[in-house]
Amino acid sequence: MKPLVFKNKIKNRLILDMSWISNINTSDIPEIKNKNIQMGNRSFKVSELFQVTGEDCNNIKILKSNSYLVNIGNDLKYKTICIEGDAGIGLAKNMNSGTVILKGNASEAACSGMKGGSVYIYGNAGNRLCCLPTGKNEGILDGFIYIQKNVGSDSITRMRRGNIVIGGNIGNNSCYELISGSITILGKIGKSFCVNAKRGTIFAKDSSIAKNYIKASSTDLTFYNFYRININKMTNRKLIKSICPQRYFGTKKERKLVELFVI
Amino acid sequence: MKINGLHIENTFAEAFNMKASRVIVTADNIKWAKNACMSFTGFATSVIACGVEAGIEKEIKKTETPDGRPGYSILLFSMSRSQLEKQLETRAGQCILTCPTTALFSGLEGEDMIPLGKNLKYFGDGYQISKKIGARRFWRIPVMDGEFLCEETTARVPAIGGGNFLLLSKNRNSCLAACEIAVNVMSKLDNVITPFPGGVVRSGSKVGSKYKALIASTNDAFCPSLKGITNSDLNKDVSSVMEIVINGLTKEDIDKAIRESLIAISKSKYKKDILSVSAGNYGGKLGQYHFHLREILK
Repeated sequence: MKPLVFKNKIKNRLILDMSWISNINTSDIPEIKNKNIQMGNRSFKVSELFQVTGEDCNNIKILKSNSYLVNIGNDLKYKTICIEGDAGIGLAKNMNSGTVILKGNASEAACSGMKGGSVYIYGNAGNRLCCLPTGKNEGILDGFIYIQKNVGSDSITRMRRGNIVIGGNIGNNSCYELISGSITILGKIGKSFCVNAKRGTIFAKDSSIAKNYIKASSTDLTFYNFYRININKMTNRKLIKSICPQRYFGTKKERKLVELFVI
Repeated sequence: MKINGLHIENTFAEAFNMKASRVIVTADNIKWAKNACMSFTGFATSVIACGVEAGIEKEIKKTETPDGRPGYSILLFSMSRSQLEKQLETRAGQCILTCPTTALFSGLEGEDMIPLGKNLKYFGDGYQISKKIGARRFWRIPVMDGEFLCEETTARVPAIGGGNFLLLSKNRNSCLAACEIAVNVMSKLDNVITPFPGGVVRSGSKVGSKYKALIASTNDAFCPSLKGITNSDLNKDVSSVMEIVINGLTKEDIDKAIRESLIAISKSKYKKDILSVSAGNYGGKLGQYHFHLREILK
């Protein structure tokens, strides 16, 4: 089946909530085209804002996307959404399962409250990636996130579980109150990184953060190699190349069980 | 029926429904992976007394294992879920966790999951670390040589146990040599194991015994030393009988194992001493699967 394609033809600069895309459960094109959606203070039919083609509602493509399209992949379950262009605030917010592929940049608060599934951002992600969603106390519960380039400040707050791979730099105040999970950062790391962390595993190239951790034995790298192979497989890239990282375990101040591999 | 001069009797092997699971054991080198596997699959020849039937399925190259180290896959078969769970955890705890440098992974995908490292994690005494990658959860248990990495669960699938054939030979040496050829062929096949020592059984059994406490006893019809005093199935020239028991994930896997191993025997120099190939059954009333030798070799 051909993917269901939404080609953006909006010309004005109004924000459009795209949460409805996660709830499409029909391949009936006329029904999708006639669906009413709200933009600004007016109601539009989908066909007025998008050129709709294809049939597979579990495999969706959004073409000519821009940062005015917000909440793409909100509460997503099972589907695959491929976005060509940028995405607005709230990409993959509260996502449950499925896959979101963004071939562009993500705006603020991407992957906030994510519970599962995979998100691939082949560009930059704005501030507050995996921030706390409204009324909840964990920024990400589970899932896999790959950001090819840089990530803004105040990102990854209270991460509970899951795997995040950042190909570029990450801004200040990141990984605040890390509870658990694994984070790989291949670029530079901003100030106040991983403050008040409880547990979790960090794979970082930037050795400047190592001063806060206790140097540990690197004799057994079974898990490291296992993780390296899996992350390289999941991203389809040889991102983690080092086979002899320096391992640190435990924070110097609070003796929390945070593990750091300088790769 | 003859295959390259090897006589195949018109009979069938009777096999049973079982539950199976596969695990992958890796280590820093193949020697230590094998040490762990040999220990894990020790005393796992028959469900009658061992609880589980297990064997090394194949060696896995380091490019194909989950952690990039050399390893082996092991298949375990049991009659019940509870026995399979119990034996898997016990053996993993005593034979893999204890063996230096090893790691343990699930080798099967499925919906019916049974614990692998789920309870072993408590050995970590609170220092164990959980890692979830995709839908799979792994445990990192600190041990004295570093860390024991173990997947939380593995899958359980329906399988077949008890596929077999018997080689009736003029002498013991040729019989054993032919069995070795068969076992060697089967060791290269996926999804099957031969759980007995070296893959060969000399003590084939019948159901029941003159002693009430026993549920199985020696298969006197196939014992050369009892010819003449029992209702023997052996002709006067047979002086040694050996059996190969095959457990597999599907009927097709066992069919293939029987076919390829018998063809290999028929092409060997030992075929002149093998008087016929038979199979063990219980009249066809107990087992859910019948492996008719001649149909398999057609």
